[in-house]
Amino acid sequence: MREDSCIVVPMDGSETSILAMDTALNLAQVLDVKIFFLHAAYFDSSTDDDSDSWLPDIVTVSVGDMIEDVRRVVEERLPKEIRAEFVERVGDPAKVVVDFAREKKAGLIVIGARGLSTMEGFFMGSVSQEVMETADCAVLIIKQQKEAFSW
Amino acid sequence: MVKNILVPVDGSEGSDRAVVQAIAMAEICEAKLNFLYVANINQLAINAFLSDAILEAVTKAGSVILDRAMEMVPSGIEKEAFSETGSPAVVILDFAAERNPDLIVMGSRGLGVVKGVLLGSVSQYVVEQSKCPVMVVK
Ligand SMILES: Nc1ncnc2c1ncn2[C@@H]1O[C@H](COP(=O)(O)OP(=O)(O)O)[C@@H](O)[C@H]1O
Ligand SMILES: [Mg+2]
Repeated sequence: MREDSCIVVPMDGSETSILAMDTALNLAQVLDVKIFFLHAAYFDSSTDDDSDSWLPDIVTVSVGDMIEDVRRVVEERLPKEIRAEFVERVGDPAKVVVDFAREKKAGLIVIGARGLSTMEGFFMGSVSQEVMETADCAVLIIKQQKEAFSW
Repeated sequence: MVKNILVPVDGSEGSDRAVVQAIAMAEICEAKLNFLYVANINQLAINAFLSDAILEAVTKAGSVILDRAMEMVPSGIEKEAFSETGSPAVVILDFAAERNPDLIVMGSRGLGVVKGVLLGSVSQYVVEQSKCPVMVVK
C-alpha cells in the first residue's frame, strides 16, 4: 500500500465490525496510513416521519448516533500517531462503501464477514459480499473470532 | 501477530496481484509466505485419462506457477512452496486448517472464464469457510 493511500473501515456497530476496526488500527499503525471509519445509513432520520415511524429504531436511530458511538469506541483505543476520520453517508451501504473507497483512492477496505443482520444459512453478510465483489481495491474480510489479529 | 501468510496461486493475473500484495504484507509483518498450488485433478480426470504423461504435465505446470511466485519474493523474506492435488477450494481450506495461517491472501478472480461473475468460485468458497481473515485482492 502506498503511503498516500488509506484504509476504509465500514462500521455498523456489530461485533465483527469492531474486530475489523481493531485489525485496521493495528494495520494502519504499521503502514502509517490514514483510516476512514465509515457508517452508511440507509435512511436519513429526516426522511422518516416522527409521528408515524414505520422504520425500525436500528435504522432511524443510527444516523448521527452511530458514527458518534464509533468515534467514542475508536478514540478510546486510538494510538495517538494514527490519523483517523469519522464519516457518515446516507445510501445503500455497499454502494456507499465502494464509492467512498474509490473517492479516497483507498488501498484497502477492512470489513467484517457478517454484520448486524443475522440471516441464518448465510456465511457472508449481503453488504460484505457486495463490497468484496464490487470494490476496486483489496478487501480484507474479518471472520468472527476471539480477538482481532495484529500485525 | 501475522507470522504466516497463505497465498493460494493458480498462475492467473489475479493470483499474481495477490502475490504482490502478500509480499508487501510479509515485508511489513516479517511474516513467512506459504504459496500453495492445487492441481485440479478431479476436473482433469473428467477431461482425460490420467496417464502418467498427463500427471507429469500437471505437476510441471504447478511447479512453473510456484517457481514464478517464489521468484517474485525479495530476499530476506521467508518463503515456501506447496503443491497439492484435489479440489482447489477444499484443499486450500484443509491446508489452512492444518497449518493455521494468520492470513490468507488470494485473487478475486483466477483462471476461470465465467463471465459476469465478480468473484471466482474458489475465492468465494474460501472466504465463506475460512476461520482466519482473508484478503481478496483485485
Ligand atoms: N488451483 C488453485 N490452486 C491454488 N490457488 C487457486 C487455485 N484456483 C484458484 N486459486 C486462487 O483463488 C483465486 C480466485 O480464483 P477462482 O476463485 O478460481 O476464480 P475464477 O473463477 O476466476 O477462476 C486465484 O487468484 C488464486 O489465488
Ligand atoms: Mg479458477
